[in-house]
Amino acid sequence: MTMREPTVYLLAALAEGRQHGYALMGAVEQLSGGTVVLRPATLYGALERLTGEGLVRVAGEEAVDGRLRRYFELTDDGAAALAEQQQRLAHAAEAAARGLRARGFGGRSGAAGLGATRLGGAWA
Amino acid sequence: MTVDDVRRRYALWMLVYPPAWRREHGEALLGTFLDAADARGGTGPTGREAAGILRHGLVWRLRLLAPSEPTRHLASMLALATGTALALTSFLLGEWQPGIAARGWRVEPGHVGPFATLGVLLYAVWLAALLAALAGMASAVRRLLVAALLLAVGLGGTLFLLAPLNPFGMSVPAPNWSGILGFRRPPGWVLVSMAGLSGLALLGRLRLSPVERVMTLLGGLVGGGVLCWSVLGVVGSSWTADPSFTFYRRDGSFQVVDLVGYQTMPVILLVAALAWPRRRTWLPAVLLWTVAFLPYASPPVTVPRSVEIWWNRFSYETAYPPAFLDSLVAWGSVLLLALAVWHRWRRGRPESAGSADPAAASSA
Repeated sequence: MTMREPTVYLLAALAEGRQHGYALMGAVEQLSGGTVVLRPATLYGALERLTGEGLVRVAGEEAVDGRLRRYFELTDDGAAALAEQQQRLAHAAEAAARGLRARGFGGRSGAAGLGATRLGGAWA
Repeated sequence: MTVDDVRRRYALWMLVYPPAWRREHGEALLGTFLDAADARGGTGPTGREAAGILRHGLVWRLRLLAPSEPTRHLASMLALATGTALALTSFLLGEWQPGIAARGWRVEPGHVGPFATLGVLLYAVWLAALLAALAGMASAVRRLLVAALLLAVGLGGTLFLLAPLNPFGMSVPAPNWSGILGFRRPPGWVLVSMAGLSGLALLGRLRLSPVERVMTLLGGLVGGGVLCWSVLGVVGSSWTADPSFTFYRRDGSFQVVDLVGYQTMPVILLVAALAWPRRRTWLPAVLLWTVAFLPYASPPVTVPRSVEIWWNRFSYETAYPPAFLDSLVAWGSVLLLALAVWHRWRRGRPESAGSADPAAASSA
């Protein structure tokens, strides 16, 4: 199953531990180096979809300054799906690196050799 | 600008979401919005936030409108049975030339062997789809229904695309009797109905349980029988003297051609979408009722007409038996739909206002 980039970053952020909505927005932006910015409505749409798919679950709520904070965490299925994506992207990155080396671009190899593999580092 | 003002602004925008969604997620989403607003020192939704709320809220509302899977399954079965009824009737009364000649009806030129039009291909594909459904071959049913849809649309499209090549185009008064390179095709009301029913049937999973297979077959046969009886009855009582009668002629088939046409499609859709999507025990009754009485179940037409019938105290033209049934079933359809809407409304009625609602927000 291929996931879209924001979904991958969302699961990657949750892989580090349970988080509430606003913290997740910041984590996704940070992990993506600012290339993926989720607004609250988009974030909750994605979280609901992932919850429905069993990849994410609600992990409690608390009231802070009169506001409800709902926490989310990765399920085992979510972790497995994320691992699958990580392997897929690492494979794609490796293939791209090989192709670029053949054209004389860059000397680094593997996932670490591409800017796009920032994700791989974050998941490690 | 107080915190409550900011909260109220967001809550107002969140009215775009359906009430049920707001009850479950509204407070959590609102909290996230307020956290984000605090971080940037904002006093309300930014343009992008507002656009996101609009987009996601409307998507959720549309999702609520979309029929559930059981409903789509029911609608699909009804369409399969209805299409079978129409295909059988059209084949027996409109296509089979020896039968048409034996009844003394007009045999048109340009026929396809013993069949009147190329519509026989469409009916054959549809009946093959029915057989595949009875055999439990869901993927084959889907392919055949797609073929039926393409055939119906393709045959209909020839009216416009191949009109210059149509040898009957200038000589036949009814324009929907154009054909392909000398062959005729069924009229538009049949093709539109069959195309619509194909599309409707494709909405379902098309994997029928043994009981559903029997009901679909029975519905198609009973519906086809009622349609044939209706046409023959009308012709027998009123149109025998007309040597130009053909089943495909809209005026010749009298009001019976309203059967599975433009008026009944919305009825099928509405009944299937609104009524008892999860009460399978009602299925046999709904299926038989809807299909068997399709010739008369066209409330947009028959309700006003039945009023006219009663108002005019049964004139000679209106006092034929189907008119009474027509009136009865049309009003029954309206009642059924009203009950279904009422039931749905009660089920979806908000029990209490969520605190993400503006009223609650303003009081916070």
